[in-house]
Amino acid sequence: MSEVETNNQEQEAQPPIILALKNINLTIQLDKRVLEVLRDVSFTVKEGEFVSIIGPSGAGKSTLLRVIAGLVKPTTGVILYRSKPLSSTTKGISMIFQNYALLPWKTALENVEIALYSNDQLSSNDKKAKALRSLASVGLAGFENAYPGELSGGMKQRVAIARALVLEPEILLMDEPFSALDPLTAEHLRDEVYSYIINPSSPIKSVIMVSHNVEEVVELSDKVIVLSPRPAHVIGQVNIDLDRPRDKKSFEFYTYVDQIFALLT
Amino acid sequence: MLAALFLSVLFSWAVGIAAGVSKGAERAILPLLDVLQSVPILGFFPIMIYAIISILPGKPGIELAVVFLIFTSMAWNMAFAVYESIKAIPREFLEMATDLNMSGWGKLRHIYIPASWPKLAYNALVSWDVGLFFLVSSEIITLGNSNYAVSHGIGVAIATYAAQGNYVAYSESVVLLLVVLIITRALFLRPWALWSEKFKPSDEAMQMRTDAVYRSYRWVGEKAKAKVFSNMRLRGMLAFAPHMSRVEAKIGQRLRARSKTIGKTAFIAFLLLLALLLGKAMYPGIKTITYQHATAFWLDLATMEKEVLVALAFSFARVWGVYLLSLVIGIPIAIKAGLSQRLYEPVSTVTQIISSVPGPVLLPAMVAILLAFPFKDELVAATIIFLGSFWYIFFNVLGAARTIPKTVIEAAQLYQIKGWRLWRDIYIPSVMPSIITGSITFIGGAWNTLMVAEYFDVSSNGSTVILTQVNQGIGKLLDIATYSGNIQLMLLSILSMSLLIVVVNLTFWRWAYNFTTKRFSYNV
Ligand SMILES: Nc1ncnc2c1ncn2[C@@H]1O[C@H](COP(=O)(O)OP(=O)(O)OP(=O)(O)O)[C@@H](O)[C@H]1O
Ligand SMILES: [Mg+2]
Repeated sequence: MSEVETNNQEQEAQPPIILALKNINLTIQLDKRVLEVLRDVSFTVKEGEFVSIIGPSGAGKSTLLRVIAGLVKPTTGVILYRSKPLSSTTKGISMIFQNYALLPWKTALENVEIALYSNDQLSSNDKKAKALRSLASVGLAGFENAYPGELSGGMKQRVAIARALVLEPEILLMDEPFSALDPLTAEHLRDEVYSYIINPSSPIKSVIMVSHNVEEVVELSDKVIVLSPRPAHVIGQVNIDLDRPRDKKSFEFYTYVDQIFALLT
Repeated sequence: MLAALFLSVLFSWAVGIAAGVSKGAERAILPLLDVLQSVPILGFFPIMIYAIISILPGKPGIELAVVFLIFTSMAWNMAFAVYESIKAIPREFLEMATDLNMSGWGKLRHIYIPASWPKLAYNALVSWDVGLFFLVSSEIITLGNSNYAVSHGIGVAIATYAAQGNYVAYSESVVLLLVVLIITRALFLRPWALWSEKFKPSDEAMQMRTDAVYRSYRWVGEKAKAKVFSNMRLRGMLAFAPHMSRVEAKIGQRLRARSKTIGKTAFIAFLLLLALLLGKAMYPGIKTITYQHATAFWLDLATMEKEVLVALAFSFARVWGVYLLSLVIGIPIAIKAGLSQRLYEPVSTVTQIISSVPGPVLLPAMVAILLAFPFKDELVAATIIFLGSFWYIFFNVLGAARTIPKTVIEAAQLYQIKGWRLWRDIYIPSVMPSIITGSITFIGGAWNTLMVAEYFDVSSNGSTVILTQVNQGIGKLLDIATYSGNIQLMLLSILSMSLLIVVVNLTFWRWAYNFTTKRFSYNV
């Protein structure tokens, strides 16, 4: 990978903006009523940035992530991905779904491979090799032939991460990636995920993560977007300027946690 | 019909609550219900008539037989519905009742019966369809033989008009039936089902937006699985044995062994009862069989069995042919409709109405339409089987398609998986358990429909018109045996048929069920 420098967090020069949301509105037509889900949401994501979206339950966080993934079209507003308007799903943006979205009838390896199905340039041997490498990169070498039902929650989450990574996206979207795990596993995986995703050999430049958990957000993010209850709009942005790895017992850490809690309530 | 439904409700309360409340009753009743559920009821119908008439000759006997038949087509399912509801009552409710010093009657009125409403009502929707099918079929079957004919009934009217070539009156009565069907559905059964929802524990009520009918089809399907693999649940329990204490494991083992013996005893008791009735019916015949006749008797039986086996092979091919066709047609339509917000409502409404029309009433019209086609008889038979059983696959898959996790669909979209790959790798596997559930019910239903599908005649003014008949088939053989009063043939046919069904269930379907639930279920 050639982007070693641009990936670096502590770079002095302003890194370029990779994704920009401009005045995103979304209303959904239900049977009888119209539901406003997103109201005038704007923010930017820079290269190398880990951005978190936090907000109350049912605010519209998952929906916002779907809009960014190109799965749902906004009613009005544009998303610029590397300065070009985004109109559908793209190879450059991949997503880890809430509850993993693994297929129970496919092995870990096959679950990773399905992300490559539509790629006609690769031979099936190449696809397999890529998928194997991706699994190995999240520490699942040796579990290729296990079915999701045979894997623990943390391992399933790793398969989901491997699947998102195999596409070599520039932007990775994660919808509450740790919320279904027990606290101990989540803690462990949070540390690891950061190193899988944001490292010089990873193709991923930026991450957008949806979360409920304020401490988790402060631990991982460079920037936190705080959303209001539905219809979701941005009620605050917090830049977190702490050295990594972050000390979760430090005074500064808690200042950030309090600041975000204050915005949420 | 309503009388039978009413009877079924009463029966299911009595039996279901007894089984749900008392452990002893549970152990006796459940295996018995299992057995009763899995016999092809319509196949037993001729024997039942024969037996009942020999005890209670004349019209009342026949009417009784018909009511009994409809009752048997509805009651077992509904009893299961009640039983499951009772079992699902949260412990706190019962503890509260004890706390309040509620009497037995009070518990019944305020807890058991309300708790059983939702499942019972949903189940009644399907049972009603099934019951109608049996009603019409039974009326039509009895028509063939003037000795056994039921005198009044919509099935009778329709078949008679058709036999007389009075197609105006025929169409009128079909339309009338359709209107009555829609009205009973709209005015009675559906409101009942919806009303009963308020008795649901509230977290379940969240999911109640999904439609009643496909869920009840699914539910009946689940029952079909449960009855085929009745001791699988216990096996599942034993799988947990390492987690349970050893004592508990032992109890599980003993329970399993006991339920097996009880199941067997129940089955034998059932056969004995049947034999007793038959013995009574055949008694004059048996008396005349002397020693010299005995060899001839067995030889006769052997030739008959040969005939039965050939017929069985034909019917087997027919059932499985239509089954495969139904899979090919039903799965894509059901998945498409289930996944689409726009299509789901209209498709499910229309299919619900079509599904509630009992196939046999359309038979004369079908015969008229399909007359010009080659293999007309096979086509008619196939259509009847299709109309009677297709819905089990359709509604099961429709329901399953609605519950495919949204994220899975979105993942496919994100990875741009399209076309055949999407179906082969995502959609079809996602609904696989429901395909199997639907299939088990389909096959069960299909064997029943054979009775009308393979041979169909109507008599009016003393002359009998054969509307349609296939070349070979167990349903036809059974019908003919019924009309000619050939009890040996009847018995041989029904026993061979039951044996075949049981063997296929225990081998193929058990394997398919085990495999799909292990591999294709999202909630592992
Ligand atoms: N396609 C849709 N149809 C109906 N309602 C929708 C749809 N999409 C979103 N909504 C509604 O929009 C709101 C936001 O949903 P969303 O899943 O984005 O919330 P969320 O912030 O992710 O919540 P949670 O924290 O519970 O995951 C919810 O009230 C949801 O019911
Ligand atoms: Mg969400």
